[in-house]
Amino acid sequence: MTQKTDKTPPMAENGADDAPAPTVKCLIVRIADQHYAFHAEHIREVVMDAPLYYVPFTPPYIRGFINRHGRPHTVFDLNALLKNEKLTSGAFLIAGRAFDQTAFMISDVTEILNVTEAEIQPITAMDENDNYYSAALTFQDEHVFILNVQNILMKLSHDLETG
Amino acid sequence: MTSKPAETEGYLRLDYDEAAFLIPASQAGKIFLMTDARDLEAPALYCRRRTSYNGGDVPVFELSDFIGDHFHLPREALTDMAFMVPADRFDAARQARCRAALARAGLSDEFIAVAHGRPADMRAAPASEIRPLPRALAARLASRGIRACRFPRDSVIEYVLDITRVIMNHPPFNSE
Repeated sequence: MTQKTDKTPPMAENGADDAPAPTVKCLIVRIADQHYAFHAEHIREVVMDAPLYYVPFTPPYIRGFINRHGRPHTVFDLNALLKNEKLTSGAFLIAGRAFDQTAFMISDVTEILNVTEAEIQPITAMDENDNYYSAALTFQDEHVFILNVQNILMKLSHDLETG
Repeated sequence: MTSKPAETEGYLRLDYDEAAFLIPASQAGKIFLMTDARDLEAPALYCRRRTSYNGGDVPVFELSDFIGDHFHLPREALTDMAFMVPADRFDAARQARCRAALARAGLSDEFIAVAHGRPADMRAAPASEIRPLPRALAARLASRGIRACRFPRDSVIEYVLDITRVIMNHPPFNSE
């Protein structure tokens, strides 16, 4: 993790009570050569250099289990899911407890951002991967998708049912 | 005041270096060395041999081949080390199918020999260390015979296998 940036949210337009606009905390990560964002509330911890254990009978974007406190966590390779190319990394995000025992393989964590709701943009152009994104934001002049963890888990559920 | 002893279960543990496999002792019978394993006339993917046991010919399930094929572990040469799985350890529905398939193949329907090419020993594991699999994968893996796992130390995973399920997913044991 390189740094934490608390961008000062813009003030209310009329300036009457100078109340800051509500913000959302996002985790910007790099996966291969692209940045993605997670809602920080969906992520519990970042793990570096954890051994990965292969698990059979799963789709290719499931890379195995990692061990967190004695519990197996299913590791999603989002580069394999979104770009059909396997990622090589020992870094993982552990999803919150609401998302089963789930982890995401990442290259690294780039930044933690506070963004205003106005800075979060709905997705307009639709392609086959858009179901895995909930919205987008701009980070260092780059268009960054915010990942939809629930829909990614549903993709696995669907593939296991139909595969 | 005495503390309650930890609940444990016995397992036959097969060591594959990067991973290990735990077979519940309730499913694994006698460990023995097959001295007369012969080819089956109608071989199947994981059942190509028969061996004499308890007055009859029993089929040999090649567990090392199954593990090598599915767990990204080196596939071992055929081995004569085996443990016996009594057919009565299968659940009732599977037991009937299994016995019928073996009878059709002219084999004893009392036991199945499971061949493994790796060091094996019996050991107890505290129930608290045996972890359920993540919900997203639990049903899929259970249907393939992977029931749970344990992390006894860093860099090692132990998979708990339901060996009856592993066997029954493959011919000739799943033949109607």
